[in-house]
Amino acid sequence: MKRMVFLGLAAVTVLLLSVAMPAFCKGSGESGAKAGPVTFTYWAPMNANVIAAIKDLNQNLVFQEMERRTGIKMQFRHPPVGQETEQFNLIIASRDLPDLMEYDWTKYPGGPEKAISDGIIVKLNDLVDKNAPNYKRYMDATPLAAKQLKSDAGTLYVFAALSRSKYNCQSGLMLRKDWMAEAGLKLPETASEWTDVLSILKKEKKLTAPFTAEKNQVINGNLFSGAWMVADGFYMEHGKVRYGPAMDAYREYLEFMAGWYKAGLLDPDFVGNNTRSVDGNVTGGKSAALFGFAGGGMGKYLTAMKDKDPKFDLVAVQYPVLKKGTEPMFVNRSWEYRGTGSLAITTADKHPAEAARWADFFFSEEGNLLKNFGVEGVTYRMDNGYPRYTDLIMKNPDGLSMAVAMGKYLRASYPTPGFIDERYHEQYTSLPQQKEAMTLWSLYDRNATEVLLPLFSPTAKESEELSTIVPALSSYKDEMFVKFVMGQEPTANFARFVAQARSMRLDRALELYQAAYDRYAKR
Amino acid sequence: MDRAVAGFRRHGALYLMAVPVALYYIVFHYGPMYGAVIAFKDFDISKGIWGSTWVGFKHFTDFFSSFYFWRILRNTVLLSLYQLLWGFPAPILLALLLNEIRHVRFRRFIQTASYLPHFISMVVACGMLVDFCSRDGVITGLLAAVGIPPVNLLTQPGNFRTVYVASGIWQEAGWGAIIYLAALSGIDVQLYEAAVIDGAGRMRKLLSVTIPGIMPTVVLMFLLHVGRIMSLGFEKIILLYNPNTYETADIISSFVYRKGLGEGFQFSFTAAVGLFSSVINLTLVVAANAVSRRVNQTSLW
Repeated sequence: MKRMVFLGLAAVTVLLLSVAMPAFCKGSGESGAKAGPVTFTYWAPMNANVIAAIKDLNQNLVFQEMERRTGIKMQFRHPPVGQETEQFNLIIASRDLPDLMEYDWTKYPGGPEKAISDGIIVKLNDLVDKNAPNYKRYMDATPLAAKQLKSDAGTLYVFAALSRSKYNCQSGLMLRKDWMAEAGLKLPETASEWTDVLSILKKEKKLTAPFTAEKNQVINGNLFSGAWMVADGFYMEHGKVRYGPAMDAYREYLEFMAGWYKAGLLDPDFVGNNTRSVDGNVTGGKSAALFGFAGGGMGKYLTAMKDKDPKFDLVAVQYPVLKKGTEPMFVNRSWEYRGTGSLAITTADKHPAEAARWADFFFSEEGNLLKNFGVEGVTYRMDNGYPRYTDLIMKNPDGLSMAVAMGKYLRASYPTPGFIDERYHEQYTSLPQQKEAMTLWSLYDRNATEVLLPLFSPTAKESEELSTIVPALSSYKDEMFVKFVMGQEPTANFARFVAQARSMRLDRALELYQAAYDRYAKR
Repeated sequence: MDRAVAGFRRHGALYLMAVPVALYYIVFHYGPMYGAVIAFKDFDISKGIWGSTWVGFKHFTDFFSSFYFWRILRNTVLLSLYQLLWGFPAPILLALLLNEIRHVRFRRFIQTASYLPHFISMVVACGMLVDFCSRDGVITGLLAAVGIPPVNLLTQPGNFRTVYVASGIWQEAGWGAIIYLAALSGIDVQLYEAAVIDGAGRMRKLLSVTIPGIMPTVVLMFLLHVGRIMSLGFEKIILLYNPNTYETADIISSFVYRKGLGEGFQFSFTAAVGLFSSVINLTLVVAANAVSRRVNQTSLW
């Protein structure tokens, strides 16, 4: 009897396992069923704000409307949030390709050219010439963006996620407006004015961390180093690639920051700071100045403090310079081409021309409205030619936050093929302080195009060599930055630091970047 | 041979029940091992594992000659040794203490409370640690009460190992004690009775009955620990370290994490580093096992 029970148990276990195994291995093999030219398989990572409301982009208003207009049906394959890269690599390795893929193709190992020569995606130049008049018109009219979009050899590989907003800088420095007014202070323009303002506020308000920011923002954020005309990493100077921390001016900047640390102006715990510690400093009244985003930072604090401290107010400050009257160069600007969320047509696609026409729609005015504002009368209303979001987005009846409602109905709030529209920015950041901040920070964004590393693409060989040099170099730099600022290493030893960086093959990295840049410049 | 067949006949059902487990190991542990060959190749996802070109020991020499090799090796070994030194005896001590408690409900309460931290997810536990160790955190406050100036403990390179090992004890001692408690309950009660008749007190019983009774378990656990010296996980490290503590906190796995996933996707290089640590682990465990077989007559195999 006992034996029988044993046998039975064993049999059940084996059976269970054999049922479970194929279920594990399934999941990717269902791409075959193509009814006609009207169905594409579409691989797209899901944004957190989208997945919060819908499971599949077919439930998204933009795709529903696209299907209604074009008759083209999309069959989505979404990787689990957080596993996008692994899933992407798996698809490449298994060659089980969907027809269309949204991804940052500049991150393809070896660069986008290699994705084409590996036979993963197709070259779009001819397809765009014949089927995508809107996209082509945009590139002809915007040569700077077109240059970012093409590879060194002039190959076009994606329908890109692009910014066409005048607010190219979404982040910057801020100060407590109420305290500034109380102390009768003017907004600082130069680095030394910053020191004065922070010293006064520290004394008057007994602040323990007058200037606060997350550790990476302090160490690598180009917040104050730009005043000395150097970046915290690689940057451009008149067509030459430079490494900021190895420049003489960087030493002066380090001395400045070390002075702040010593005087207690810089948050003494900046090396351990994450978003939460900064939140605590700002809402707890320990800090007068911070770095943050107009939406995620300023908006968050102003809303959170509205009831707790009605006087609490923030004001955006221009990026600092050394001499009054000069324009800041190193502002936190992003390039028009976002990389992420750009659509490529794979070699598996039997109907590339239809796919190109489909994607091109988003680059038309009509398609731009659909992507960013949805359907008129449902998600927006025209107000003198200005699309205003309806309450379905702004005050969602189901209680969805604005970000989630946008994720559910639109494709406005994260990079997707087409344009990011400034009218979205203007309504997403609804407070006057936020609008003022975006305008102020973006005032000199043109300058940043001269110093920011362009979206050049190192060859597969170059990137392999760079990946053995640069990570080690930057963690060495981070470590030494902290030591210099906290006074554990006297700034007199700066030359030793540079020599060590050189021995870690800094010059070779500069050479490789320069070669990539020179090819970019010739595009 | 006949014996094997006879064995199969007699215990067929048992063998059948072992099949799923064996399959699990074959499919998920032994199967993927062939992938380790990418340590000797320049892995290219579009060419696949077999299609990539062979480069011999290139990635190993790259690793051995890299700027941080000695530092991360030293940090890994030291952190592991400290963990072994302080972290290994902790659950044994806890189990012995619990074993002496006679009040059943009090004992249950302590046991539950002590293994609870094990169930807190690593991210949350480290978030709490970061808070406790910050300038105005609980731990910093306690230290300040005994005259240690309040600084953010986690920004000091000198504190990192202490925080890491101590918090490891907090997280795992209760959970680790379970296996020793099981071993303790396996000790024959007659031995205690005999000891009492021989006039043994509490301490004597502990030293002469209890500890020898759980020694085989202790040795086995020790051997398993030694086999993991080079494979400290990166999760806790990357949640707790910052550039100022790299010099004591950066270990092999956090280095691999940064190289393999953070910046650059160097699969071959990181596979080589992983293989290197596995080889050392295997060597250590084989050596420790041999020593233990000699000295204690207890061994893993």
